[in-house]
Amino acid sequence: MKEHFSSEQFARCFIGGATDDERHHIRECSECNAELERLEGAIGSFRRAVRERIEQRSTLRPSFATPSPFVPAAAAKRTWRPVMATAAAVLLGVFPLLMTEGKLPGEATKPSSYDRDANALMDAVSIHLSRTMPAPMERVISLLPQRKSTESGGIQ
Amino acid sequence: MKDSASTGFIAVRMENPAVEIDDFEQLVERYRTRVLRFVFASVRDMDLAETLTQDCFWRMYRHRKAFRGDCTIQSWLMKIAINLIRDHARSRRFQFWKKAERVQSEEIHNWPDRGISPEERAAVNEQVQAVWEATRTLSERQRTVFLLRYVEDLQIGEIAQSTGLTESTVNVHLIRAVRGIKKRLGKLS
Repeated sequence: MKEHFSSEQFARCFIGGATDDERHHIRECSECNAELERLEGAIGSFRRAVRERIEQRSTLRPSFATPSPFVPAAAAKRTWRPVMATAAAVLLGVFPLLMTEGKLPGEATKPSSYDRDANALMDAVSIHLSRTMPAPMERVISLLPQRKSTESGGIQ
Repeated sequence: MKDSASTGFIAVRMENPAVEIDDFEQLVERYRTRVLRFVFASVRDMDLAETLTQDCFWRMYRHRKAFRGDCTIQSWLMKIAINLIRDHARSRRFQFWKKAERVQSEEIHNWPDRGISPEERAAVNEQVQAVWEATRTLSERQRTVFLLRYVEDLQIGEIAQSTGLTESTVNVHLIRAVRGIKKRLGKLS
């Protein structure tokens, strides 16, 4: 193999799937060898950089390395759900009560009409009870000539 | 499955997986950094990565009874993480996120690299940025496979378990991913 490697051959060599010819070529061709080393170096640096980034994070947040107690994010989210639901239920239950309670004092400031009605009703009842005959009969009775009480048998 | 002890990953095929998963805090301690690393490299935002990592463990905890032990815990966790990342990418939140990506990508500009000269550091930073940007242009599967292989050091078999692909398909995606990254690096030089 005299030509330089294609990108696929480089990739195959890199992942360790090179044929015997390709391995031989890599040993012989300094240019392809340097190119492969460059690729290995870049990916190696990337690997190291990612690892160091995670180590940095662990150093900055030591609790991260040994989480105790372990509280999954999803679980944390879920624990809020019942709390929020309870809070909403309480609000829905209490709010109308508060509103009702708020209304009662408001209504207490204007009971006069109610009282007035009640007094009027009581007056009407008193008048009705004090009548000696039914109200519809009063007009008819008033048309009749007045007689002495002894003759009418006590009817006034 | 190959032993991946060289990567520091404890590839345990458990006798009784439910018992192992019951020790949940230990599992979190052992695997959280790995999951976070993979998620961070995928979504490019640390806060979001932490949220998704927590969701990943939460989902694992909820479905721990369903774990049959036919793959490693890491593979299972990665599978959950991949699904979460995919779900997130499809959500509306991500659409908003994409708009804000430019601002958040600043977070990755200054990679720490100790013991080298400023010039070398600048060159390394440039390379890292190029690879980082290149991973963004890859397809979702190519990116996932690439990150699992070269950031998390998972073996091809473990990647196949995590992604639900065959090993040969994983290899194909991996070759395409590396080609894409090399193309990007070529443009850089």
